[in-house]
Amino acid sequence: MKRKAFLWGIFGCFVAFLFLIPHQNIKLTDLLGTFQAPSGMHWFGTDNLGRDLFALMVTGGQRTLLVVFISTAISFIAGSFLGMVGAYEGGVAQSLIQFLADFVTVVPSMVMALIFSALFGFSAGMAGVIFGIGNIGQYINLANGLTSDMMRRDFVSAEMTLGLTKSRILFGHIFPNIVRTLLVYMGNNASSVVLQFAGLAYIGLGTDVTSPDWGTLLYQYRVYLLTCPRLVLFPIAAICLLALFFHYTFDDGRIRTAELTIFD
Amino acid sequence: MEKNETSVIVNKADSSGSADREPILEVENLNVRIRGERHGKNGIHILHDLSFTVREGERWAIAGESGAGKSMTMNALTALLPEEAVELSGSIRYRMEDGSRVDVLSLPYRERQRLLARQVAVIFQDSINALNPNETIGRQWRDTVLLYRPGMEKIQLEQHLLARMEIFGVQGGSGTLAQYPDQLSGGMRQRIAIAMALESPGRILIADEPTTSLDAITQRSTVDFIKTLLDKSGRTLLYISHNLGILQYMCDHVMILRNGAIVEQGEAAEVFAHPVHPYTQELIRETKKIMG
Repeated sequence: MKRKAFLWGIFGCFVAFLFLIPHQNIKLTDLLGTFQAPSGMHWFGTDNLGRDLFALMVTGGQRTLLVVFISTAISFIAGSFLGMVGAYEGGVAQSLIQFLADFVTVVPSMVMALIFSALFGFSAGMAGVIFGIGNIGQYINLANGLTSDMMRRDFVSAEMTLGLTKSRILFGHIFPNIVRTLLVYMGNNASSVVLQFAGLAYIGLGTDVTSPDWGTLLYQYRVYLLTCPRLVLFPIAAICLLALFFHYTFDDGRIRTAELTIFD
Repeated sequence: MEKNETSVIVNKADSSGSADREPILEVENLNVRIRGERHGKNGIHILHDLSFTVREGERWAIAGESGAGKSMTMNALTALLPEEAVELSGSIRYRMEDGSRVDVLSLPYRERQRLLARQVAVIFQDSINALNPNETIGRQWRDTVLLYRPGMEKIQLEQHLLARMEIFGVQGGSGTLAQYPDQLSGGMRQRIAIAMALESPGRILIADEPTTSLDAITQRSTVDFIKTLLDKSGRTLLYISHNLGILQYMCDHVMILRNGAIVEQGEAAEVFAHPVHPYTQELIRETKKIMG
C-alpha cells in the first residue's frame, strides 16, 4: 500500500508539474539560438529552430497524458461494462458483445487512425478516442473471462438465491472482485497507449504533425541523432519513463482471493 | 451419464405423521440435460425423471455418491442453472404464501430466480466461497438484511445484526463485522453464511453439504445448530450430503440418488433400517464399514 501511495504521489506531482509549470511559447523560434546546450534559460536546450525543448517536452507530455486518459477511460469503462454484462447475460447478448470485441480487436489502430482523422480531423483527443475504441475488445475479453469465473463462485449463486438485482450483483459484488486485475491490465495498457501514440505521431497519423507530441519530436529530430543526440534522447526517455511508470503503478499482485485464508 | 436401466424407485409407506400436511414442493418428472457443443448433439442427460413431494415442515435428505446429481438437483430447485446451457423439463411446483401453487419451470429464468429468492433459503457447501472475499462481513450481511427489509434505519440494522450474531453464536460483535471472510475461522464463516441465508423469508431451507469442509467438532456443532434453528422456525429442510450419518441425524425423509435418478425414497428411519434397493443397501453397508 505504501509503495502504491508513493507511486501515486509521484504521479500526482508529475501531472501537477506538467500542467502548472510556466514554460516558454513553443511557437517562438530563434534562428540565431539553435542547438543551444541546456542552461538556466533553456533547461533542455533549444532545437534546430531555436525553440525551447523543455517547453516542447512539457506540451508533448500534456498531450500524451490527455490521450492516455481519454483512451483508458473509454476502453476501461465501456470494455469492462460490456464484458461483464455479456458474461452475466450469456446467449445472444454475449455473442453480439463478443463479435464487437473481435471486430475492434482485428481492425488495426493505424487504419482506425486514418479513418477517424479523415472524418474528424487531427487532435490529441481524437487519438485518445481511436486508441480507446481499439482497446475495448481486450477489456471486453478480460472482463468477460473474469466475470464468468466469478459467476461460478458460490457467493454469486448465494446472491442470486437471495434475490439481489442483476446490477447489484454485477457492479456491487462481482466488479470489486475483478477490478484489481482490470486495473493491472489498465496500467499495462496505458503503457502501450503511450508507445502507440508515440508510434502514430512518429509516422504522422492520428494527430497534428505540427504539434509537439513526443513521437512527432522524435520524427523531426531523427536526423540530428548523431550531431545533437540530446534532441532525440529527451523524447525517448520521456516515452519510456512514462510507459514504465504506468506499468509499475498498477502492477499490484496483492489480490484478496477466496483461496487465501489465515485459518484453513 | 446415462440412466441405469436396472434402477428402481421404491416409495416406502410414510409413518412419520407428515402425510396429512400440505405439500410445499412437488417435483414431477424433472429432467435436466446439459447442452453445448462439447456435450454432443443431444447434450448430457444429468437428472432423470425425478419425482418427489416435500410437505410443510419435513426434513428431507438427498443422498448419493459423488456425481449422483445431488447438487444438480439443488441447482434446479433454486434456479441456478443458466437456461442457455441447460434444458429443464417436468415441473417444480412451489406452494406460495397465499396458498397458490406455481410451476416455476413455466416462468422465465429471471422471473423464476426472483420468485424463488423469497421462497427458498440456501446454504452453500463452502462458506469461504459463499461469502464475497472482497467485502467485509458487515457490508454483505447489511446488504442481505436490507434486501428483505428495505428502509431499515441504520441503528435498527446494527441492533438487528448484533442480535442475530448472538443467536447464531458469532462472536466478536462489530469487530467481526469489520473483518473479511478470510480473516475468520471456517466454523465462524459457516455460521455467518447460515445466518445470512436465513435472513431470507423462504420457508424452505436447502443446505448443500454445509459441513463438508469443516472438522468433526465444528461439523457436529453446525449440524446441531441448524437443527435447533429448524426446531424453532419450523422451516422445511432439504439437506444434501453424502454423509449418511449426518443425514440420519438431521432428516426424517430421505431420497437416494444414483446416476441422476432416484433409486429409493421414503421415511429415513425405514430406509436406513431396511433398505430395499441394492444400491441403497451397498451405500449403507459401506458407510457402516467406514464408521466401524
